Amino acid sequence: MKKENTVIVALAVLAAVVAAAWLLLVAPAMTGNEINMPRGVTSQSAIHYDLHMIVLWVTVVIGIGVFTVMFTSIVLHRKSRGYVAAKFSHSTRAEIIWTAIPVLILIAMAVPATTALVKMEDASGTEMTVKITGFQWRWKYEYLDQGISFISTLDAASNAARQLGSDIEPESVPNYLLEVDHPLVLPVGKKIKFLITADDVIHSWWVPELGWKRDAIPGFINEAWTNIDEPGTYRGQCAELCGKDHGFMPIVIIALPEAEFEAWAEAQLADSQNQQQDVERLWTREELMQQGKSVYASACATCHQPDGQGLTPAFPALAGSKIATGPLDAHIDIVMNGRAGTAMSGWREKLSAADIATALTYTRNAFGNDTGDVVQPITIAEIMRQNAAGGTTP
Amino acid sequence: MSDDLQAREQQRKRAQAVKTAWLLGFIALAIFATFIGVAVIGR
Amino acid sequence: MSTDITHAIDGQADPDQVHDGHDESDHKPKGFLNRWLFTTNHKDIGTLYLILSLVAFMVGGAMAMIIRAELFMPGLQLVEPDFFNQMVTMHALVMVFGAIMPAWVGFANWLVPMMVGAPDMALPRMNNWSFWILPFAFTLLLSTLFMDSGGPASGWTLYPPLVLQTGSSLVFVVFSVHMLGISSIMGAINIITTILNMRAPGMTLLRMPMFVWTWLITAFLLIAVMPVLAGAVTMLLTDHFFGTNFFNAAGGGDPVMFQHIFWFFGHPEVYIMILPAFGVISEILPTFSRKPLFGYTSMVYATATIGFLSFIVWAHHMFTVGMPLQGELFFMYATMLISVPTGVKVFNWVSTMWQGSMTFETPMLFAIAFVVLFTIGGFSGLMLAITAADFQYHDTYFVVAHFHYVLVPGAVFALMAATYYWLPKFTGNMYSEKWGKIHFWLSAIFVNVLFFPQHYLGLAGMPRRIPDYSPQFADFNMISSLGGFAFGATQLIFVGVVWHCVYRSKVRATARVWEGARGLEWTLPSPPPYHSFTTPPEVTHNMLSYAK
Repeated sequence: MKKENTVIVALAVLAAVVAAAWLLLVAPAMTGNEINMPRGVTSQSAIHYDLHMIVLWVTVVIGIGVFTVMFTSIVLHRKSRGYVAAKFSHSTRAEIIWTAIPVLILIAMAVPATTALVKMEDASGTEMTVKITGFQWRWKYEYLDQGISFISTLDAASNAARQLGSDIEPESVPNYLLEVDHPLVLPVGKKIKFLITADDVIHSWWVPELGWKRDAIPGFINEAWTNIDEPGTYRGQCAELCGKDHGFMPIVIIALPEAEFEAWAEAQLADSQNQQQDVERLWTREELMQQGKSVYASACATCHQPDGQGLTPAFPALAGSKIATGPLDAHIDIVMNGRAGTAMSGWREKLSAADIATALTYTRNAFGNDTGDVVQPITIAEIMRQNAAGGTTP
Repeated sequence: MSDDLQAREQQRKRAQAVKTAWLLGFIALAIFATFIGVAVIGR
Repeated sequence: MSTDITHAIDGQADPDQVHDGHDESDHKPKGFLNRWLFTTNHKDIGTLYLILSLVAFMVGGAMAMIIRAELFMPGLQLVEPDFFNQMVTMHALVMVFGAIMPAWVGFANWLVPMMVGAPDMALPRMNNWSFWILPFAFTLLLSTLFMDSGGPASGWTLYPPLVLQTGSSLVFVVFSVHMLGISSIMGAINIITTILNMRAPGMTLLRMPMFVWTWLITAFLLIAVMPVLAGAVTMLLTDHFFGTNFFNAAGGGDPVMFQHIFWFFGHPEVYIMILPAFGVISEILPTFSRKPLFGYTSMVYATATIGFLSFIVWAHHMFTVGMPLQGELFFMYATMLISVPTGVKVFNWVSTMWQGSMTFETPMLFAIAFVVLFTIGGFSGLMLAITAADFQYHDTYFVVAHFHYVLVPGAVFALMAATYYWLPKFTGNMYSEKWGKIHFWLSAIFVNVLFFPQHYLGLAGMPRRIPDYSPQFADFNMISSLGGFAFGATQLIFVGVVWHCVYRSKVRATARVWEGARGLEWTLPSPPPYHSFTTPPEVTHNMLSYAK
């Protein structure tokens, strides 16, 4: 084979590879394979999916047209075939045509794109509201109508497996990195409004099956809405880089039929009332240490590490630290209100009084910290009440 | 053109270039100042 | 045909009269320091820029290898998440500010004086300064990786409040960005003044080569937006160290304002990296098609239109921050509009090739791959412009795939094409065509293996900038990583080819180098004299490939 012909073949192969790659994208789309955007379970996600497919097809068709002309030219108009170059160098008519036609295509595309966007931004007529607060590195959900509120964190199994050098196979963990301790439970068939904000840095709340993501920005409250059609479990992740554990703050939605959702909500309320009563009583040291250990694992260990040794330089060790073995009041203050200028944020809004009390007790008595101090939930609840009444932080 | 004429032509071009450069430099500084200024006043 | 117009007074100047580098003499300054540290010669400074960018390309590439190695399979195997984020951040900063931008300035230094018929840049001493700031700026930037507080880990976009959690190393990052900005602005001023003031008689604006045109517009973009970036990072600095609250929500600041300011810089920055590439492709395609560039005038206007539009599309990088509907619509329409002048360029390139008499040397192969793969990047760009669909694409690997398609087989392939095209002119030696072609084919194949699967990952729901992922994304990540390692290794061939061409090649290049080459630089011998045109050439239209 002549050298130049080798080039033809090679270029044709490249063209075929590129075209095949595009087809790989398009063909599975028709079978609903996972390498394309999910069609989702809301009216919005379906609209976004359709738009995506329209634009994808338009670009594929234009691409095939342009590349066909180009590769034909590459095969035919070569010096090695003795082709003599033409002399033309401009054509006003051609320039006008290939300016005007793309403009028309764009206008045709802009019409559905605009209607979709208008529909997307129409948050009127919502039937319930959930406030979502992102912080490093968990989500807090508050059902404003039901009075339910909880924090959602990466589940313990994923968390153990994702540590550097954990030797746990990610494949052995069900829903690795896409499972949480407390999923967001929502009713199907209801228009739900989300108020999305953040506590420390910018996060972004994204569940692909819902069809959108929206940034959670400190100092701003973003509105979004959804209306889920089908019951099921839908998983997503934080989409905006938010620090070292950005990859480890998943979102799980469990969509239930309305009756089941109501039952769930009532159980949650009863549970939180029990917890309320629990705060009032005196806890034994064993109870405090036991719950404290699990609170520590889910809330504190990310930074201060499971063994309390911290992670230099940003995250100080708690084992033998001046704070965790020093005066109790100062320790409580830092845990409740955080420390300005560091990654330590205040936990008063994010954890219950019992959680804070038990975690404090645990850190003051674990990792060789033998202060013997016991912090009762009622003490923390009392401080929270005073602060709420006084409106200021100590 | 003789070498002498060319040298003078080059010098004239460079003198003009220096003027253009000062102008562009001041534009850059003005943009910098404007953005910070707007951010300060805007708050 | 016209090597006779070059260096008429070569060899006449007395070496003792060489006081500074832009004296009229072909004698290079003696001694290593005089030649390189104190140089005011546009070719030497161009060489320095190109060496710096090749080094940065390797450093940034090594960081990319770390990223792809960690993403090779699910689970954390190699690095802590915080270090991963530092790599993500530094890879981008080094590639954008260290590899691509200095490489284009290097080519501009080498080529603009030769292309417009000038002896040197208009402001040779400032030229020296703009280069020598860079090594110090990069030392500052890279040194943060070795500091206790670690390097910046907030992504190259440096979004507050996250970036304000960086330790004291933030101050090094900010000063480094200031220095890079000053260097870029001075470089841009030099290029504009050279183009506007130093042209040879007969070199009218609408006769200038496309590379000169695209750089002229790029330089104006640089002057307009680098000060904006400097302003943004200055405000970060005062927020972090001096208690201001520009972006700190807790103190009444506005974190979204930073994003607006950053992307007002950031979007034109994208075109700063790609417009010179458009210029290079517009030089190379006519040469190897042996046919004038199709639609020269419309190419100039299309470039100017892209430059203008780049200022009014910035918020498409932040559709998810929650803008009013009218704002989202405006930025969607404006962004879609950019595909019109970009399309004009692609159509003109295809028409240039059409009915040409083509040969396929390495520069031509890279140029063709550029047109195809950049267009694919343009297509995904059009998809991203659709706001409603962007609510899904945003901050996923689909975006990563998109901008790597326009920057790697886009800007980087154009840089490779430019290197193969002009290196024989710069050095007087031919590179190895065989190894050039091997480099091309391996690059063209592996760049697609590396980046194409990332489209799928993004659509299937993988966010960007994560060090670990769910096993459902494992297959394509592994393919992408393998492509990445192979692409990275292939670039060592490039270094070898360049080294061989400069130091070992026995094949001498002619003045014209390429049969179909047009433009003033080819009228000089290869390598060209130390001072390009000591006597301004009379420009006639048959020297150029597209003048009317």
